[in-house]
Amino acid sequence: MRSGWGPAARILVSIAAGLLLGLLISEVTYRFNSDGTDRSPQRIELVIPAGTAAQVAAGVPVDTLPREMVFVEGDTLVVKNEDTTSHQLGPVWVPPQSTGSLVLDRADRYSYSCSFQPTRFIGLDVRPTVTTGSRIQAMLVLGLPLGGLIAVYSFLLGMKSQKEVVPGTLPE
Amino acid sequence: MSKKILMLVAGFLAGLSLLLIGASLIGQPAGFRGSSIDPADAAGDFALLDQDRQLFRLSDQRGQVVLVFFGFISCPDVCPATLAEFKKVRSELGDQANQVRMVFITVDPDRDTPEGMRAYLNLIDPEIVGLTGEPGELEEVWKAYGVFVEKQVGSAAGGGYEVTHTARVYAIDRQGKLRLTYPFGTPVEDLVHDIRVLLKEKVG
Repeated sequence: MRSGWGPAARILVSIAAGLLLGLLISEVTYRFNSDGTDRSPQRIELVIPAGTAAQVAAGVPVDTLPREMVFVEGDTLVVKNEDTTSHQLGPVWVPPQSTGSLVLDRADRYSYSCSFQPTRFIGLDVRPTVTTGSRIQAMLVLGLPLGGLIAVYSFLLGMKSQKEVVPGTLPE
Repeated sequence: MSKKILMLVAGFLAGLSLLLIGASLIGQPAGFRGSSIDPADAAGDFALLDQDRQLFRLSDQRGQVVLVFFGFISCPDVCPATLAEFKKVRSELGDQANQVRMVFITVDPDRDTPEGMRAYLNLIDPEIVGLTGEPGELEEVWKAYGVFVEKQVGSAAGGGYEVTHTARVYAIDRQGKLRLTYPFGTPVEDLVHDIRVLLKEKVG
């Protein structure tokens, strides 16, 4: 970096360089660590068939859901109830012959009651999704401190080169 | 440093800021935060006695958003917590709270009298309407709203009983349609958000 640059220009260029470097590092790390469960939010539909409540009451096993269900943040859980009584699947309660839907907008692990699970409980695992916002956030978290360090380094370099200027000559 | 490079760097940073703002806006959840019901049919009507022994009929509340919760006075945890949330919701709504009715329907008609309801709700929020009635009437209401009620004899201190019950909150729109439900523990801000959305809707 030339020693003739003003402090503001030096800081600006350092931050820009730090951000570019941060972007590069975070994107490469993301590619290497992505485990395949990361996906865009989707609409996930489940159907409760007619006669489910009667089957549960009679102790007859029904085609149940897995005890744990995995979603990503932003998924819409849609439950269509074709039965003649209301049903509950976790946070979604559905009157008969209706459809209940819920946007799962908070990443967490939940345990809810479920009217058609033999255990009467269901676990919902809502995982955070990697959005453009979170990728930009990663770049900023990495890039801003890096930019700061580059700025400090460039100032130190500038001071060193000023000291090395031969007396009687002008710095470039 | 040449002006061109400076302009380029400044442009890069400005573009990045715009991208950040855009990404944060895209991330905002739209629509309702509760579990919505489609098609939204008319909520099951009921007429029960309030804490002042006046008849409260759901169908008379058209034009207002109604939140309904089922519980009982001697409930040690879920009911007082939910009713305290109702109070916070009213406070967050400010002036809009005048357009919202909050209703607490008993699942323990043998013990919850209108006088008991009044004393209990005066301690929490007297604006909440506490309803009770004959067991037969209430059973019809519980059934219409899919409420599970079961007495747990000997479970309470002193040999009394507690009542296991559904802890769901129901939101009924200004046209009297059952629109949304919320599980226990739904944040106050989610309820306030959805009530405001319902209040903005035109009454047909």
